[in-house]
Amino acid sequence: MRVKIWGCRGSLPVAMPTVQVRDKLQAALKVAAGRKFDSDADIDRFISKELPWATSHSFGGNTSCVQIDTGSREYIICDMGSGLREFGVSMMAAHGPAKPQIYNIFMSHLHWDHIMGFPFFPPAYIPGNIIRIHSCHPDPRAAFLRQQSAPCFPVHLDQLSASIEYVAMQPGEAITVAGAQVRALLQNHEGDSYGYRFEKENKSVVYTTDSEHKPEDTEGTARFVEFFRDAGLVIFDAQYSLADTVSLKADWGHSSNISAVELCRHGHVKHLLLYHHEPAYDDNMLYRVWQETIRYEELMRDGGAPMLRVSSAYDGMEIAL
Amino acid sequence: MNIETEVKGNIAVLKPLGRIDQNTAPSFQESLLAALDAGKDCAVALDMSAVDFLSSIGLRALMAAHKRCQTNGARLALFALTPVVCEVFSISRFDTVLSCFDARDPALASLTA
Repeated sequence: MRVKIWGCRGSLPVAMPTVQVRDKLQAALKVAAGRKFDSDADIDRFISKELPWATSHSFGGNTSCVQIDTGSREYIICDMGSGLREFGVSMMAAHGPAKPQIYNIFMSHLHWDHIMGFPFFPPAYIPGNIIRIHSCHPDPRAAFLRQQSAPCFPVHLDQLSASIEYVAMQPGEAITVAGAQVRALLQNHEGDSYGYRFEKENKSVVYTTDSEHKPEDTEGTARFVEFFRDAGLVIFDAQYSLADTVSLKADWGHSSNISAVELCRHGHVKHLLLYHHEPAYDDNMLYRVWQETIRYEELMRDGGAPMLRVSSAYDGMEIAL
Repeated sequence: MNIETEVKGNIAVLKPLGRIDQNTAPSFQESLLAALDAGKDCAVALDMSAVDFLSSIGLRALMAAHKRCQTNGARLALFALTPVVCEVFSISRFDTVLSCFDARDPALASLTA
């Protein structure tokens, strides 16, 4: 099983402004001062090995979109944020218009940042492609129709040439898609959202975004700990600080890095991936949050407990399970 | 949770002992809110020197106390945070919300000012 992040940002797509590009260049040139490079490979090695992570990388700015590769010929995607466009472009490059594909999309919910990529998904315009939208919400088509009808978008939803099917899911009832068993769980978010757990051959990935966790809700905590139990990877909405989630941004429907570590540790998760990043945060701030989360995991760990690996999602990141 | 209490005028000095987590946070919060509701112009100085660790539910109890102060006019100050708890405050950004002091005297002074 493999996971690829096509969009890691929450709420709104963002792009890196020139001032931040210049800051990165300045930081890189300072480290490189006095160095001689013999080849492009030498430069590449320098970038990979010697530059600080936040200088050589960017988290990226596309909204939620994650590919779960089960090894099947059918595709699995979680959410259709703006990252879906780049996934679609890669599909056109890989398959062209003459080879129909099956895309299984699992929708956490239907807020705009999770559907905005669909009008820009090239496979939707290709006859023969099948797009199956799996959702626990009662009428997902209504959201896509509102987005793709006048005056919001020039191409009406009904003009898409691919076959678009809507598959109703029930929380807790497992279905099999692309060789993986998939279960949904109701989450705490305005209008409801759903997390998904994908399992195949002893590998498991949990996709849980736009989900608010309240530490005092012991019953809810227990449900999530069980949903996460022994997962190889949990992709977790950690948009806000804990202080924000219990004060100014309480009931905004998102969670924190602190809650992420605690729930994953209780569920004996192997790898936590921080996700749905705050759009107001730049690379330096997201890197700080990542490193602080690693530290909190250390502080929380009991003596002999196994380490919970902590990563932070960036657009283009790939993880093998 | 085991909490040592000392009263100095209208200031209650509370000293919780050990971890503030899922098991101990409810009683910690109850004691803290009761002290903040004790009477007119009451104030609480929270001695954190014997707190080894606090998890999200412990932090949430502190936020509940902070909100209680905003509604009933009580005052709260924390002092003598251990290095680990200092780190947890920084990671969770609680250090931007709550009044924290290195030592007891400045904490008490802030409550009488």
